[in-house]
Amino acid sequence: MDLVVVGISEYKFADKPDRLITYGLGSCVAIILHCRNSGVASMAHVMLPMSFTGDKISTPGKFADTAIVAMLKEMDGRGIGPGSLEAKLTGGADMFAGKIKGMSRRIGARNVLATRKTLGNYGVKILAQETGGNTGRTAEFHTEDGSLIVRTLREGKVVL
Amino acid sequence: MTDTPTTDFFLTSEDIDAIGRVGSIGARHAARALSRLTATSIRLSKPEMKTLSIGEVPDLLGGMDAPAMGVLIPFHGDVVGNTLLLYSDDGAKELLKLLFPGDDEVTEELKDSAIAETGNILAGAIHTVMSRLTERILISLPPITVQDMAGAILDPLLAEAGSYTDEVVTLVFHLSDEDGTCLVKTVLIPGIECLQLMQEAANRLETG
Repeated sequence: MDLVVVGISEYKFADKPDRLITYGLGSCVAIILHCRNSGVASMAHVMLPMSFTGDKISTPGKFADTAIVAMLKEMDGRGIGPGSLEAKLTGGADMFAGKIKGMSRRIGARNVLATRKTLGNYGVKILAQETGGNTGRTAEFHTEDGSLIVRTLREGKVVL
Repeated sequence: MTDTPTTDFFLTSEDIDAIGRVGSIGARHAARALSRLTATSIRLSKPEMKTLSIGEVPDLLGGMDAPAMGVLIPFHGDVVGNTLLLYSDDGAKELLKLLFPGDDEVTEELKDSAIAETGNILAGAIHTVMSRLTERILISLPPITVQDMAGAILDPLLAEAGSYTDEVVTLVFHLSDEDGTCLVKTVLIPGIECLQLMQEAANRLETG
């Protein structure tokens, strides 16, 4: 069983029984798409809500909208349509409790909103979400049973 | 909701060196203020300038999920933005030894307050240099401290940089006592507005 590490602005795929993990999410959001029938899953670690250059961007995993499109395209190449997928989300924290200034204000909430909107546009069902608050998170997805384990330094772990 | 850059922003290696000189002036002022505050002799190195890919920045603090301490110093006035200082968990402990030599029983409250004030002095000194050189009004707001995973604390400022580029400019300072036995690494990440001002200040410095 392999552990596939997903870095900032990346998205990766794993097949059953492998696991996907991404560390230290703050305002970033981890988006997990999972097909229970085939055991295929993909995880993205997105930093920003939407791209201004659309699908021409060189790092689609950086933005919620382009990451989801890229993941769905690759799922499609494996014969998996959006209707067969379940999504889980975590991250989107406000690390400085509303006190940050300038363009990164409410970036976590905007990331979550853009993720939900894009998934909705493609008809992907959101099965679970653990987002917001003021805490960092590490997210680990198990392709075998579809569970998402979210760990924090202060508040322990939750299983979605 | 689209994250469109507000301006084209590009830094050459000469710009980054010049920004380092603005950081050095701030560090000299901050070292004097810290020495006065602690009634000891505290040294602050010239900043080591690093341009890193976004994914590499958390490695300066031990990795994405390594426990770290962040001090955010927002500013407002003619320009609104942020400066972020970070210490690894061990670095924060070393900083307390530097600020309270021989005192092993520092309370959590005092620890937070001392680390916040150190960040405030260093970032405030840089804000003052920028303000003087660019002739813009900049007012530093009270510092906000956060203890959490390094990657999580960095996220908002990495996102600011990420909306323009895939690289981040970082300034690494070393605080030390007089004989250099206690050495503390401080990582300073200028928010995008702060970096633009540092560049403007550096240009003024170069042209006299």
